[in-house]
Amino acid sequence: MRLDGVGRRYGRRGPWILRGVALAVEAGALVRIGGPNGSGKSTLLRIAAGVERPTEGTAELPAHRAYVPERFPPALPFDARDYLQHLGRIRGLDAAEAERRAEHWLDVFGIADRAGTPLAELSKGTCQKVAVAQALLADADLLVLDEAWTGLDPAARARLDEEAADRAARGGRVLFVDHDPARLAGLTTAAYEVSDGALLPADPGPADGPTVRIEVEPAGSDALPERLPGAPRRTVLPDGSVRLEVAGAHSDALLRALLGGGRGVHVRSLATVLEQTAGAAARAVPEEAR
Amino acid sequence: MSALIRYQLELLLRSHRLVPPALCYGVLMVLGLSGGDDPLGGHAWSAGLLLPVTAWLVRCAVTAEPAAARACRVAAVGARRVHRADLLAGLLAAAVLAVVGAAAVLATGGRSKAGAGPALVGGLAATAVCVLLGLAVGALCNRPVLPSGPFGILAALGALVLVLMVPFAPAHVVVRALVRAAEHGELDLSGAVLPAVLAAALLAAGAVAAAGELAVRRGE
Repeated sequence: MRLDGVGRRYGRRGPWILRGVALAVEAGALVRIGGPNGSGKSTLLRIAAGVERPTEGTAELPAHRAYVPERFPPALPFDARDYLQHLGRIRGLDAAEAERRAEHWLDVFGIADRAGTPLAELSKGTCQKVAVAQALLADADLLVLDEAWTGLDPAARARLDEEAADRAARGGRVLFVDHDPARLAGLTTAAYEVSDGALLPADPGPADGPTVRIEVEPAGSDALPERLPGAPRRTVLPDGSVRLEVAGAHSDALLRALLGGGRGVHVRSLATVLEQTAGAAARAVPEEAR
Repeated sequence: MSALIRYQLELLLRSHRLVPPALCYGVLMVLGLSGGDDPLGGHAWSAGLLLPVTAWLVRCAVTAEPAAARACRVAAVGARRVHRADLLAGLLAAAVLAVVGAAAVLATGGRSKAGAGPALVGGLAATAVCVLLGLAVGALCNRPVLPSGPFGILAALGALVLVLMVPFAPAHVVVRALVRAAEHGELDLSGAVLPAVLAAALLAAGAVAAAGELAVRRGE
């Protein structure tokens, strides 16, 4: 995804909301956009989602995009399940798959019991869960989250954090706005600030913190997939096992990827490394995981 | 595309947006049809009604969904496909009314002076012309072409009067051909009806394409 010299204003004489914005989001990127209220963050995200066109400049966008708008309207005459199934079909899933995924996400967010309730009768937070679910329903090349966490309960927020990080780790692109400065801290690959209509680079938040070292014994030589969550540094050890070093924030997603999917990978040891320098002492080898 | 159209049709049905135009058409059909008349007259009446009713249905279809919900669909498949699907959903709703209306005309009408075959062909062609022109007017007099609501309604009324009243306008030509045939028994298929069908189809296709392009350019 690439924005080049993008400017946006409403009407021929309106003030510029954005001007001269350049932004490239590569595969695997998790990008935070910050800035005060009314600074043009949402406009930038709408351009990235392909909902709005820039007044000047060019926007090259991937074909499959998913967008969670800032405010999701409950004024739709569908219930949650029907709405999600429709959106699944629109995204190209067949009927059975759309139904399966709608049920899956209703279940994940704990609202399966309200699947048949009209959207207009759902609480704000539940409605926001539906808004998030429609974006996560199908794999998109670009996920645009405009304050998608607002109104969600802690469990759903954590799940959305996980999902955003996981999609970036699997080679997707995620662009998000959130007013919590700690949101996805440590996982964010780049951060920007919208100020006076310009996009300025910002500090992507605290560093990754402790590194987690995982040693695994793959069942065969090609048992480890090419792309793993958190892009761990790999070292093949003399006995054929592989040492993976990954930022602490990614370790859960990495372990899930290693142990799931029946690859037959055996995790031999797990350790937290306090410093990232090679040869630093491992703090602990607490468990043997299988 | 069919998933987009299904979504929009279900949205229109569940939000009861289709009720006022459909009711309007139904009531005026009941008032305008009388048993035993030449079906050509009934078809002409139905077609003339369907012109504004289709424009109204199309307006419902492109304004029924809240902007943020449309934004989710636009992000998924692009503004062009979303807008075209919405226009086609309006067209399909109008087609259903048109079929019901034609059946009512056939059921209540008597023998046609022009013969049963030509009367049916002429009636269906006139209906198609008016529905297609209603689609064109609806596509050009609403968002994204004319974003302002009240101004769009006025513009649509003006456009409807134009295509129904001005000589050589396709709707005017077919409706007049049907009314004349009901009186004199001869329907001018090749000279009046066929050219009007072609013109209406071209206008509708052009209007839908233009509105789709503008939806991409103007965004939400």
